[in-house]
Amino acid sequence: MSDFDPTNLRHHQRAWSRRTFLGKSAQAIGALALGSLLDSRLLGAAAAPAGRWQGILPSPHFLPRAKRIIHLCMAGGPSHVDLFDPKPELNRLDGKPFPESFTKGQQLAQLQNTVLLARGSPYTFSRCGLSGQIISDLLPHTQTIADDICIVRSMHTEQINHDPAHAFMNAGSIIKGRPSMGSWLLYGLGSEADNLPGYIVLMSNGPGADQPVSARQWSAGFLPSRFQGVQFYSKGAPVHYVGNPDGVCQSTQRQVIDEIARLNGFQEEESLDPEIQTRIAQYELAFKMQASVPELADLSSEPQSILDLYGVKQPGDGSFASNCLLARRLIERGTRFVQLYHRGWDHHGDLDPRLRQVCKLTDQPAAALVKDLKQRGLLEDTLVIWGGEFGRTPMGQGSGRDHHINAFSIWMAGAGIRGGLTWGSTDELGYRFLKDGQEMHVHDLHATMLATFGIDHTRLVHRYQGRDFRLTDVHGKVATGIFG
Amino acid sequence: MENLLLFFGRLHPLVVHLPIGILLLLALLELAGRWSRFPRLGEAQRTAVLACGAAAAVMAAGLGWLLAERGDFSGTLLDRHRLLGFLTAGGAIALLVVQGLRWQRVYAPLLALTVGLITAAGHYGGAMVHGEHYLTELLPGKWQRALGVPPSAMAGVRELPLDPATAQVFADVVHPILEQRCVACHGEAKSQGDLRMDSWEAMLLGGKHGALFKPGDVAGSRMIQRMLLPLDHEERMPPKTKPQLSDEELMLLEWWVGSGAPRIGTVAQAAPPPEVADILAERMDAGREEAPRPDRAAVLAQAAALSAQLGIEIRPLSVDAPWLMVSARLQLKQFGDAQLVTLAALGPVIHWLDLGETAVSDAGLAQLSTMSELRRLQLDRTAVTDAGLAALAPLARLESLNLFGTAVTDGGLVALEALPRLRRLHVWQTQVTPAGAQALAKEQTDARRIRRWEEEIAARERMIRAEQFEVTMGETFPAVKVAFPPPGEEKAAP
Repeated sequence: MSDFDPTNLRHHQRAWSRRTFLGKSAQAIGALALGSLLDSRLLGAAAAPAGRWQGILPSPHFLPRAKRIIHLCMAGGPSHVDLFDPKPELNRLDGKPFPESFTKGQQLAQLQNTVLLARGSPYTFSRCGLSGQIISDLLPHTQTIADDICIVRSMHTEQINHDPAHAFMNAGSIIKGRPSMGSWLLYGLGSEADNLPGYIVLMSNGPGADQPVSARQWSAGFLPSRFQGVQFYSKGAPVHYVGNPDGVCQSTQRQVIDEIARLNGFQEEESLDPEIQTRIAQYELAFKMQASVPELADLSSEPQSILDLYGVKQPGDGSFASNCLLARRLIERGTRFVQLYHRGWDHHGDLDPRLRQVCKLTDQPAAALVKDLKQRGLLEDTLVIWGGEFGRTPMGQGSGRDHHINAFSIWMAGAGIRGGLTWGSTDELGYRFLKDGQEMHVHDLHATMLATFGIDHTRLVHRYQGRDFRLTDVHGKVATGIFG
Repeated sequence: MENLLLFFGRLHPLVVHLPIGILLLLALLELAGRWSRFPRLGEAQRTAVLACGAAAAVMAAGLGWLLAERGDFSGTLLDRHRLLGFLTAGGAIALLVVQGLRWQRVYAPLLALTVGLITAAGHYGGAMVHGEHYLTELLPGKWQRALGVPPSAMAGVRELPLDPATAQVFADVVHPILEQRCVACHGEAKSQGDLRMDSWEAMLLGGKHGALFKPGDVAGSRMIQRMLLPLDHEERMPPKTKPQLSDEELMLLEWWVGSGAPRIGTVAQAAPPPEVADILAERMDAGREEAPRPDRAAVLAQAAALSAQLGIEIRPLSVDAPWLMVSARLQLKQFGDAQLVTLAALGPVIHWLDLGETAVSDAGLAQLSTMSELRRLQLDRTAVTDAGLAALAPLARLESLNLFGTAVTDGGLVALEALPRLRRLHVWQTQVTPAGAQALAKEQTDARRIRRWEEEIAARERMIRAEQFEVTMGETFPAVKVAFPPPGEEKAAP
């Protein structure tokens, strides 16, 4: 057990005296902070990491491979049979009735009680790289990283509508109040950075990106709320109002923060509420972010070649490309979990033009992110996951496809995951994952993700309302075969 | 007739358990009989039990004699076993006589003596079958030393002297292999086929088939021939049921015979070819003693202090070992050579070290020489140059090195050839050329080993194809392909 635990009431009593000390030394620290502001990234470094949350786990359970994770969430549900899982048999059945033996008695979303017709994929696929992984020609840039990514074709989930499916993908449960995977990681391991949040969410804009994604997807649930995801604005300044108003200098600001912390400390002493600890920590973090965020968002230090690699047209324009670049900058600065949402994959109709469009927006940046991480040596300990909350039906729905939970594809890269590997498979029509020992339920994905961080998913637990909870609940099997 | 006699002889290991059981049972009954609750237990069936025991002992001794005369056995173990076995049979008969004459005084001591004899005989018999140190080899070292077990039997593999200039080819490389794999059956104690392999001279003398090797002639040497026979072959050595030689060991033996089977001479003098030198280097490395691990609790306390002092991230990597991952990256230019000196106090337990973007320079890298356990090192975007890379030479376990954004050139990569475990190198935005990187990659990759593994994979694939079952039904059912296992089940979890 770490000696710093916000759920431990005795800690709060000890912490009070520390804050009193901080309050009394306000001027001294303020001056120190001012001196460091010239290079804003030094500010975080000036503070000793002693008070920083180091995670509930005193050490990993086994040898870790990952230190950070970037989750590229393709919200809406990318079509696996059009992108990563070609099905010649489905193409053969195109326009014909979909075999009833597959679908009988199964839950469907909007296709319930309709005549089911098979829809072949109009797209061509290529074998790519030395590994010969099969990737759709809609993703020409992803094809160039075929040897770095592991395509998982046997994903399956339990939720057939967007919001609950996102919740399931994030928290392993649709019940409100369960922590998301980023919160679990932060709770377990803490974050290296103390001048930026450890769990950051970015949502990209673009044509077709119309569906809302609820902020509950990055909620800390029953964990202390300091572990929740912090959403940055992807357009303009990532965080509004980080600058001081005219006439307020950083040392004045420091004094204000310290005074508020002192007052909050009184309240905390009375109520012993861990959320006050969160509030105090957030003030401190916000103060540091006044310096760290402008530096983070300043993409002028990125050379044109890097902007071109990602396909960034206007830095900070809220595009997926700009966010991918920002994600790299975030993990370089010690953030533990970055989650990028790109909406617009929900193609119930007009599959062809809309899928082309969203692929065009996301293909190059996602591939560039992997390449850029690789050339910097960051891919060795950064896990990248690309995927949606579910897949799309091999049956047609008008000119599109419906939601599909029995099989979908994602890819993972970095952190010791075997590039060039295709893991798991589906039946000949792409309807259902095959039970070949490589099936990957969302719980299994969570277990595997925690394993890359050296965490045994059965041993990262939090007791709440009399019960031990974990991200994988009572499920989860680590896909050990995708490592190495 | 000869074969039939040998057949009966081979029943010896079976029959031999009868007298052991019967005579020990008798001793047990006699002991129990001394206790007042079972006053007559020993006497009751004494004669009958003794008669059975004596008959069994005589039979076992007789079958043993048949086996020893006709089987491939010789050596001191056999001599002792034979003597003790016959004495046991004699003891059992003497007991029967004593019992018949009612010489009560002699009976008890004689029974005790016979039980002692059969125990000793059984022990030597067991040693002949399983090896001389079968019983003691798994005991704790302290007990072994107390029992006087020779050290070679304790260690299993004898460690090589670490210096090729002093390591003897025969005494330190070849003979330990033979001692481990051959001498248990072909030694002084047990010499099957009248062959002893416990010395160079004995090997040249050979067994009943003649000399074991012809110096310089690998293909014509009986030892190598027998080792290369298929596992199922009757003449294969070591036999199927015994621990086998590894490919590396076989290569070493072939090299030794091929280079004239010298009795005296050091590894350095023998000038082994690269593939043999690799194997030798590996064995020397394995023999290197592992330094005792530092105490984890003390390391973590020191780490916490240093983490607070330097403002850097230090985390344990393991639940039970003291290994650490250290990242100074977020300190940027506040972390330099001076701070690295402070950090070097933890040097021997650091596995991952991230110094990227810090102010560390060539001069500071000298501190890394204490970090013998280092696996990953990030020096990207530092002032490190070719000159500093020479300081990495002691990092024998380094697997990954990040030099992105440094002034390193091809010249610096030459120093990295000294790192035997290095597998990944990041040199984006440096002066390194593809040709320089290619040269290092070639130096760091053991193509011979990869080739050998590929051959193994190919052999296994042939085995899989040989095992698969396919039915051809011609034009009857042209669309149907019958095969087992069905395609979906082929891909099982690893």
